Parts: sequence; C-alpha cells; structure tokens
Amino acid sequence: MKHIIIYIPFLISLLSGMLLVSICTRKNQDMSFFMKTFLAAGIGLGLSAQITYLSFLFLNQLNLFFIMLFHAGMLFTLFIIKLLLKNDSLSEFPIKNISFALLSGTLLVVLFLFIYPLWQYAKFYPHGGWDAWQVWNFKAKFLHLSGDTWTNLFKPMMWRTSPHYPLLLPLINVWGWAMSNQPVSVIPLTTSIIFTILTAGLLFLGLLQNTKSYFSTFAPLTFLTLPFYNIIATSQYCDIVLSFYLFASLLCLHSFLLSNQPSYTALAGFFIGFLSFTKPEGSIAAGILFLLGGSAIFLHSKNKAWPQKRSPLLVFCLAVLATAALTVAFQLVHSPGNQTYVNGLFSSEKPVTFLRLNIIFSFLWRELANPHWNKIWGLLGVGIILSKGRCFLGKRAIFPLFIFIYMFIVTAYYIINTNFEIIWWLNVTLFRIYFSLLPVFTYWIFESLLSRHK
Amino acid sequence: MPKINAERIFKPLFLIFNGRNCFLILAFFIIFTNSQKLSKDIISRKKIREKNPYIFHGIKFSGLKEILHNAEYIGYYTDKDIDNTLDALQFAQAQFILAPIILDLNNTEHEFILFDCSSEAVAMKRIREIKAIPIRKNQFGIILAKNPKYMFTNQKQE
Repeated sequence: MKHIIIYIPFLISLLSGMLLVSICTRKNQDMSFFMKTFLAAGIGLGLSAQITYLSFLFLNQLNLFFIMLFHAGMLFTLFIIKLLLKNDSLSEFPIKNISFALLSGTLLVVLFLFIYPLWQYAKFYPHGGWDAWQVWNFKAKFLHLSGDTWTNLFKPMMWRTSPHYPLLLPLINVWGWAMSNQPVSVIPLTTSIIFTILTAGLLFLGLLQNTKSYFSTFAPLTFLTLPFYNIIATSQYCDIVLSFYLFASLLCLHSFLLSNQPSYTALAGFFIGFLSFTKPEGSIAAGILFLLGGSAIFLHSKNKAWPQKRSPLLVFCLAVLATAALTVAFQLVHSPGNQTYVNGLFSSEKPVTFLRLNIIFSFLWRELANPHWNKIWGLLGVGIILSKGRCFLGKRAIFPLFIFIYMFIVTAYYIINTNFEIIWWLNVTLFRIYFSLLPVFTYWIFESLLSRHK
Repeated sequence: MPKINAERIFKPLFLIFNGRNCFLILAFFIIFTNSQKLSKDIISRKKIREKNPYIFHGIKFSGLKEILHNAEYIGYYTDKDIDNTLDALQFAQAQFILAPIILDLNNTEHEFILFDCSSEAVAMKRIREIKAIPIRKNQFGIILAKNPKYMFTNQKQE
C-alpha cells in the first residue's frame, strides 16, 4: 500500500492534465481517448512542476501545504469549468469506434510490455548516470531538503552542477516526493520510465491518428528495442523529458496543420512552454518552435474569415506565455548565467580553430553511424530517400525546417563556446542531442511514408 | 514462342515493393535485430548484478549528517586529482549524498572539513598542519574534522 501511496502526486498530475486537455479539446472529435490521456500526463506533470516552482518563487522554500492547496484549487477550478462547458462537450474522451479503440489499445499494451526491459535497465543503476547524481537528482534533493537556503544552488562554486540549467525535471521529482516525504530514489527512476513510455506511446498514437496505419507500431519499436536508447532513457537525465516535450509540441503543431482543430494550438503552446523549462537546449528549441509554429499557424489561417484567422494564433501565443512565463522568471531572478562559456570568436586564449570546425563536422556524421544506434539513423536516412521528397513538402515541411535550424544553432554553439575540450564535449553530449531528436525524426519519416496526405 | 509481357509480371512486384513497403521491411529487420540484442543485453546485465551488486561510492559519506546538522557549507579536502574521472565521481557522489550541505573543494576555513585523501597519513598530516580536530573516521578512511576556530563558538552554544 505504501508503494502505491508514493505515486499519488503523479496521479494528481494526470487528473489535472486530463481536466485541462478535456476542456481544451472539447470540440475536437478526432482525438482518441488514449491520445488525450498521453498528452494529459505530460501537461499534468509540467503543471505540477511549475506549481512547485511557485512555492520557491513566492514562499522562498518548498511548502507542501501550499503546493497541495494550489493543486486542489486548480483541480476544483478546472472541474467547475468543465461542468460549465458540459453542454458544449460532445467528445470529452471519446471512444467512437470500438474496434479501432480495441485494436489501438491492444497495440498500446504491447508498448507497455516494454516497461519490463526499461525497469531492468533503470534498476541496473538505481541512482542513474553521472549527470543524474551530479546535476538533476542532486538539484531535486537539494530543493527538497534545503528549506530557505535553496538559492545556494545558484552559487558560483556550484558550477559543476550547471546552476544555469532550468529546473523542470528536479521539480517534477520534488513533487513526486510529496507523499514519501523524503527523497527516495524510486521516484526519479519512475519519472524516467514514465517519460519513456509517454514518448513511445505518443509517437504511436500520433502516427495512428494522422496516418490511420497500424504499422505505426513499428515506429516506437525501432528505438524501444535499442539497448542504447533504453540506457539513456533510464539514466534519469533530462534528455528524455526534453525529448517528450519537443516531440509533443511538434506533433500538436503538425496535427493542427492537418486537422485545422484550434485545440492543438493550445496544447502545442503548453508543451513549448514546458519545453523551455527543461534544459538550455530545450529553451533554444522552444524559441525556434514558437517562431516556426506561430508562422505556420498564421500562414495556415491567413485565408480564413476573422475569428478563425486570429484565434488559433492568439490561443497559441497565450498558451506559450502561460507556461513559459516561469522560464522567463527563472532566467531573470535565479539563473546565474552560463559560467562554462568562452566566446571563441573573441578569445585569444581559446580561439576557434579550423581543427575544431573539422572535428565538429566529422563528429556530426560519425555519431549517426556509431554502432550503438544499430543503424537506426541509416534506416531513417533510407526513409528520406524512399519518401521521394514527400517528407520535405507541404505541412510536414515544419519538421525538416525545425531540425535544420536547431542543428544549425547547436553546431554554432559547439563552434563558438571554446570552454571545453571539443572531443570530450562532443563525446559526452552529441549523442544526447540525437537522442532527444529521435522521436521527432522517427515520426517525420514514418508519417511521410505511411500517410496518404501528399 | 509465347510473348512475355514484362509489364504484367513486374507491375505487381513494383506495387508490393514500393517505397513504403521496402521501408517497413527494413524497419522490421531493425526491430528484429534490436530485440535480439535487447534480450541478450538484459540477460547479461542481470548476470552482472547477481555477481557484482551495485555500489554507490557516495555511501562512504553517509552517516555524517547527524554531526553536520545545520551546516550550509563544509570544506572538502583532497589530495587527489579531481579532474580524474574516478575522483571526480567520488566528489560528485559525496555532494549528492550530503545535499543540501555544499562541499567547498579544498577550502579548510569552514567549521567542518571532510578529508578524502589518497591515504590516512596524508589526511592526518594536513589535519595537523591546520590544527583541526578529527571527530569521526569511517572504515573507508574518510575523516571529518573540526576547525579549531569554531570550537569556542560551539561550546558557547552547547
């Protein structure tokens, strides 16, 4: 019983997310029950982390009473809104086509069977990988136990823990410890498994919804069966969290462009805001997605009449603002700035060299061919060729555009920041960049090949 | 000689082996090979854990919190090279176990100083140099000492 009680915070997050998603998507007839539930879990966890941060921001310490009260107030408000909108609510969590629901549910159960290997990998290092105890879990433990001295986390002497990193994952874990009252290691471990299953499940459900092909099951299986993917996913790093929010943002944007349902723009906005609070790379990705998504929504709606023309864009911007506001607050109030940055363009001690450029560009390709990926990038490359250009056209052009801009900025950062020895830095970080892009890439290629949309 | 209609023969083949289906066959092949590797990897990991149980090096620093109760910062003195992977790992895990106490690397000015040295002799030599008072030593050779500057203030508090 005690084991179940410690998971209550996650269940509260799921409930909050489900209420919010059901309100946002009340007019959306296409979205399945499962898809709503998976999106709701991500939104709920993001909301809970942000509420936890509010406790630090306003009360200058972790106050579980405040956090619980805020959750209760939010649940009550969402419930009342849902009741008021009941007449409008034709399909809160619809199961319209029973056979479709049964089949997709069965395939989802197949994906859930992967909890066993994920659990085995997570158990191998119960405290996670190096960055888990040095950065993410350390910060979570510090936030949980430090009382009103929590801002010591941002002191210059803590440079090894990357104090400028946003706090979404540590705050999810702090919220997860609400019922155990102590920082038990099973919560960060469970968080990593939850986000892995959410990413894989959402990939399957998103593809199923937008392609109507049961071969969508193949997409998450390509990487869920990969030992290397499972190792990183269960290392209790923030990369799996970033990967989930990045993919969810792009999926919602693409689904809006395909279905024209404004509810997707609200969900995309929420996800982009949460994405910005994950890691510095997440903030960059969120910035790109905000500009790219906003432009795509604007261009998509430009020929429509007045309310349909502006409302999706307005809803999108408001949703981004609502969830990214705390990232801005963190950057302005608490983040000490990046202490591991040397601008190589102006530094005489550590200048950018031709050798550095050469190493970076060769690493970008070599990592894709690394045996630990077991040819998965090769498969996706072949997919690009076999799609005969479909993957670059129409509404799915948002994917290559995002990937190109994101990788351009990441590469530029590797070139300009000469603080670290480049081979070591690429060795310990580049695979994580690719890891977080893998679900987006997989969705893009599978959708191009399985979809009947041109 | 009957006339061979190449188009009639090859058209169904082209329909079956279109880009989409070729990709799915390749994907299935990757999933199949991955699954084999995955099951082998899980079995080998289970065997490894049966032989060598997981050891978290930070455990060497547990049990110190009762003494350090309200300290925000403590010194962490080491003669090891902290750029070395294993020594950096030990420092990071010590910081994790002792959180929210912050370990100030090689600063011996704090009230409490943790000595994690290559040998006990090296640690004791440094303790004598700064006239600190050792208050606890564990089986892993980790010594916790108190800075004499703070003895009087604490006695007063007690």
